[in-house]
Amino acid sequence: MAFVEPVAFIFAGLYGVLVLFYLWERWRRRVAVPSLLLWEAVREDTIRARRFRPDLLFILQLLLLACLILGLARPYLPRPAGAPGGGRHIFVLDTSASMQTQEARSSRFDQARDQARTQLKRLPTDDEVMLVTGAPAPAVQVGFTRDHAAVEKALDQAAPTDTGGDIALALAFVDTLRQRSDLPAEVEVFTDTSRSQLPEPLRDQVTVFEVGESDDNIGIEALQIFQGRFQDFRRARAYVLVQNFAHREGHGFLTVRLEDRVVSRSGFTVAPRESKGFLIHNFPGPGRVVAQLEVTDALAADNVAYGYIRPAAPTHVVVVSSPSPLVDDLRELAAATPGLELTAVAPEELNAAALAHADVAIFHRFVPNPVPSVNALYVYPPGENGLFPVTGDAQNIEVLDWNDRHPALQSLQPLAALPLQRARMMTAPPWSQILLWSRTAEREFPLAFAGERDGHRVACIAFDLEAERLLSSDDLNFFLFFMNLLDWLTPQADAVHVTRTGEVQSLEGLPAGLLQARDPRGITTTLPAGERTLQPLFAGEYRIAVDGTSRTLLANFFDPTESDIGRASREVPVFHEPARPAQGAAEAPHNEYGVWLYYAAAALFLVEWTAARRVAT
Amino acid sequence: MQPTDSATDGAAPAAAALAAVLAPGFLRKLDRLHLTVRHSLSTRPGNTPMPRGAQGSGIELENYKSYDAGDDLRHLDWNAYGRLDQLLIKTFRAEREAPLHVFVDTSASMAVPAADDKLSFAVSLAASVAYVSLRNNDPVRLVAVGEGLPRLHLGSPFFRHRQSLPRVRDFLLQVRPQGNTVLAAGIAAALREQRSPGVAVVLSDFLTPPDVYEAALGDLVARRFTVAAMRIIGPGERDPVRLFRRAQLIDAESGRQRFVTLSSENVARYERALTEHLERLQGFCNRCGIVFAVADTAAGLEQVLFHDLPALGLVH
Repeated sequence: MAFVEPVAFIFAGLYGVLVLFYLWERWRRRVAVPSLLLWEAVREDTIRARRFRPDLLFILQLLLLACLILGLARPYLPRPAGAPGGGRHIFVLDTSASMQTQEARSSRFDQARDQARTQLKRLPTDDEVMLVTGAPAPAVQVGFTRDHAAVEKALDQAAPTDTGGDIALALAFVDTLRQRSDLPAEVEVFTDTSRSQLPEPLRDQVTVFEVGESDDNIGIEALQIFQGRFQDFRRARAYVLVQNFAHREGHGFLTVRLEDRVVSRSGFTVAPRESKGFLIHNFPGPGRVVAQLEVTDALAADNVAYGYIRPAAPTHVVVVSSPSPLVDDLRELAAATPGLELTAVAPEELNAAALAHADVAIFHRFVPNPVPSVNALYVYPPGENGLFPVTGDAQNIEVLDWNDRHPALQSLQPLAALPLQRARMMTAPPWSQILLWSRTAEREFPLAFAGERDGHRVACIAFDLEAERLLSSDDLNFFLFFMNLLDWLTPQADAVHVTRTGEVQSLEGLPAGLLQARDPRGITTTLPAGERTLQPLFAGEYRIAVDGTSRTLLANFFDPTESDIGRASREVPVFHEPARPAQGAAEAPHNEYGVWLYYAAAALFLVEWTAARRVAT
Repeated sequence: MQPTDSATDGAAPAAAALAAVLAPGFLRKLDRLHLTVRHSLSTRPGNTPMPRGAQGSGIELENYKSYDAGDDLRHLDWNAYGRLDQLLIKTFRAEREAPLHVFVDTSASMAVPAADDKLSFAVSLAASVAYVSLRNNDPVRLVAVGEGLPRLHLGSPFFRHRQSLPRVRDFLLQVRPQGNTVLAAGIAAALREQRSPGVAVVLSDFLTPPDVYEAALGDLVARRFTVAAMRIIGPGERDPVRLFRRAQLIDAESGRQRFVTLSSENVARYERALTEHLERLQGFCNRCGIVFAVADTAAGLEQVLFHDLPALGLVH
């Protein structure tokens, strides 16, 4: 047997008071009798008993007091390991970036963690506790366990991330855990999100310990590098958006560096709850761009952002076509585009060597057999070819629909009603997506489609670019469609990727083997075998290496919701009792039996009262 | 420190009790009762002492006898002597009376425990018996026996008429509980002042050593009294658990103290002692031809007067 509140035993001193009261009452009680003649036969109390001799009432009062004191001490029987436990508690610890906010001398996370520790210490030692962290996604750090030391250790090891967190999702996740639990479970949430902002069905079932009040934060909400596919660093520009989340004017400096070289440094003043943009250009070379805010605010995670300016990498395009105006148009295009190198090859001169160094091949009115292993764009393929089955020709048609979700068509104006003289009517292969549609009186057919075949990107334009002379026309949208298609066909294997914290990044393309990732804190971890994804949790540079090959991942914390750290007011925690199992369900054994002692005390009180009345009458 | 249940003055309860007894309604009930006296009769006062002893005086002619020297010549039948020339003496049925002596124990123990109110009960009983006796024209003498009284007793004169009832009340109102029980010495002193036998009713709790009450009652029997001993007892004496569970007991008379806890064992011991005390008292009374009754204050005066005493043959 153990006690939750052993301090209650200080009330045992009341026993002394009770004895003294009895002695006093005994001393006070003197009764005159007619004669001691008859009392001579009665055994007189001994000297010791004269001072104190308990009777039934006194014993009942002793028991009553004992029941009350023990009830206050909340005794319980520790259960053996594996036995069904008493209470269950799920601690949800918010580890989102806003929890890094400094409040006075400690961070919100430290405050929340201290509250969690306090709650943990208040629990009976055999209550089961689960620890769940809320960011970037709900994750169970410690399953239900009575090993509170393990929970405390997990609390010590927990740290806030540079990611946003969906506390509502965490509550839904925990609610699922609770419903699956065979014992009632209380949920305690330690967060800087006020209870009123939690989803209503769930917030009434949890106890929220809220931390945080400050709104003092200025953060970089965007760092966008504008660099076209065929542009080098000289044409690259960077756009930095600084947001003042505080309700008072903010001041600071923005420094933009390319690697370690300062490119720009400017002071700024931002009105309350407003933002300010900065355009930076004239970068001296390619490389990593770091935008750093120098401000005195409460949250540092959003004071730095990363970008990347690619080095110029030429794209080799081989055009396989008979001499035609299209080839001439492409030559003009290549001459005007830095980094675009064009080679024209006649179909009869095509061989493997001609395509050996090609990043993309454009086959005009020609489909080689066998199909070469290269990224390829087929333009107006012949009616008889081994790659795309042609069912007929169509004339005087229009573009009727398009797939604006494909990268080749993103950010373009609608191409609808674009007149075309002639086109092949083909059936799009199953590995492809249709980009443009048209239709005749009989049926609908694709005008362009693209996909991956045998590990290479393949696109097909069913109408004749030569006839349309679209590349030389004034239709900018179609020109951009062509350039986008070239861009999509020549994917860049950049060694540096820019992403956001919390977003899962694919690491495909790296050699097989165990991946080692070094995070911005300098901690290197080895990813599990077969793990080819990485979710950056901290803003900064991740370096993933395997077998001498490395890839750099620049993670930015861009989350205006998370950066908006202001909290209107701290709400008083509303403690919620866990829902008990429905009647008829197996009653969960509860090893704390203090309440029974109160019942016993009440029963003893009735007995003592009845006995006292009998004695009095 | 005064005892919690100390002996009180006793006047107020006695006055109230007497007022209840001497109320007309209760007296009408008492009119139905008569003392039963088998012996211990005495002649009425007024008989002239003669050498051969006083002849019984009365108005009802009983017989004639020849004159003997020493006979009272006032009873000589001169008409018969004229006719028969014989000296004949008229004898009359003597008018006898049964003097009632009511001895009331006024020791301090009679006032303890106060709830029992034994002294008031004894006073009420004494007044009731006195009225019954007075109504039959028998003289009544009340005697308070206690250590605090001069010569250990306080005796009233004989009351002979119903009109004496206020004087009976006044005498009884003087009774105060005080002092030790001096039953034997007090009764002996009272008998020295008035020797005529009669009916003696002793009202006491008899909480004295047996030799004391045996001496007192034996003295009365020896003086040819018809003796009735009434043991006044109350519920607090029968069941002391009503009064306390554990206390420092103080003897109301001697002031001696005794720490007692009324455990079940001690209660049994006390009850056994009380039973033995009553049995011993009753045994002595039976041996000496003394009418013995236990008058329980809780049962009430009417229970004693109209049920217990008739059952014992003291009244009818």
